Amino acid sequence: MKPVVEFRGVSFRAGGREILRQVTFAIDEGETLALLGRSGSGKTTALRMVNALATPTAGEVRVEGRPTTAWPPRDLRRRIGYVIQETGLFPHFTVRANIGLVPRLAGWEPARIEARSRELLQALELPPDDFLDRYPAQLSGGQQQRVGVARALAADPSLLLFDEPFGKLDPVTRAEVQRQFLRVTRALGKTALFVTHDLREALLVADRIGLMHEGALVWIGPARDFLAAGNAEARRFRQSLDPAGA
Amino acid sequence: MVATATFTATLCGVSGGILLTRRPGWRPALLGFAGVMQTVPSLALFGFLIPLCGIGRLTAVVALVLYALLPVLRNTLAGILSVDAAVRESALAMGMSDWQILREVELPLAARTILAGVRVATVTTIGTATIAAAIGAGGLGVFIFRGIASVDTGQILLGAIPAAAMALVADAILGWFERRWATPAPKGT
Repeated sequence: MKPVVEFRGVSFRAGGREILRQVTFAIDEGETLALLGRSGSGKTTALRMVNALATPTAGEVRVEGRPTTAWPPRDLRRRIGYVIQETGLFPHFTVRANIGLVPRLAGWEPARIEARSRELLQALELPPDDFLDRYPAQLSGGQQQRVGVARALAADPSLLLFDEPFGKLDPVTRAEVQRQFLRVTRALGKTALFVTHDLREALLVADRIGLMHEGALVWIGPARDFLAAGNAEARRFRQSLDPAGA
Repeated sequence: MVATATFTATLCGVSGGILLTRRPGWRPALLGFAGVMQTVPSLALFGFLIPLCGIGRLTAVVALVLYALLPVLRNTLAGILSVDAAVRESALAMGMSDWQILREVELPLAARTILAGVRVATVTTIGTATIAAAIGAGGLGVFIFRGIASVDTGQILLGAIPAAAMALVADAILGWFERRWATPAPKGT
């Protein structure tokens, strides 16, 4: 089966620095790969190459078998859901208008868009009648993130990109939203690339984990195998789970 | 005269501003040009244009447009650039074209700032328009100049008061529009 996303020897240089070095991996259909790494490890840059917000200076990123450079950017981006930490919700659009944006651009019937928005909000535990007419400024952080996830799922993309989406939430809200997110993405069988610096989150959401360190992919394998990984950076991440202990 | 000039200045200023958000390299040149137009004394500006456009209305309108460019241009640029980077990136990531982003995201969010620029431009244009009488363009300035020439305060006021009133009314109307364009208030208000 052909992978949905492929990184082939991807390097990226900017401002005289090597931000990505020869990164190679693939994501299969239906799997969630977590790109784990500390700040500056290059994981966000790698993520942004999938929807062509960044392009490699060497190597190639393929989505559905085609290099990102060969895709018309808009076609590529319309089939990918993108969720970022700041949400990027349009402040001047209601929740309804925010979620319905991509379907509207894709020419969906208003009735279908409305039904889809309600379905998604319901799945994310936000009562539609309560929330559809609100503006982002009238939502809490956790609610905004969930609307962001709903917006990303609205046009039913097969591929989802997440850039530390729950980083700004308090731990209690974060746990809740992670649970809701997992339920929704698992049920829908989505393929996802999830960037995070939180090992616990990676272990929770991902099938496989890819560890990034200083621009290189230093370890990749099933999530449960990470706990036994010999790599030094992996060990450091495991230690961060329990700073008080050995 | 004022209406034509302001309308044209708005059109040029907003388009110019949009252009500058896409072509940062042009900013010093275009902003510099508009800045110079503003600082040149209006009478002198009228004077420079007479050989090109003759005496009368056309010159006046051209000069008024040049004069009003800077506030509109600058505010359009500032307004659009102040749109949250995360919002713009999301719009791009959702597959919106540059034109769609401009129309649905950047312009609506920058509208208030742009309108503030148009407001400044309108008020200053009304004031500058009175000077246009000196080059035969007519308008309320005629009364003012005649009044000065014949030392007749009544005449001066006949020109000055309506002009001032126009400026205040325009300012109030545009101010009202500006407030209406506010994005919805945050939680709790």
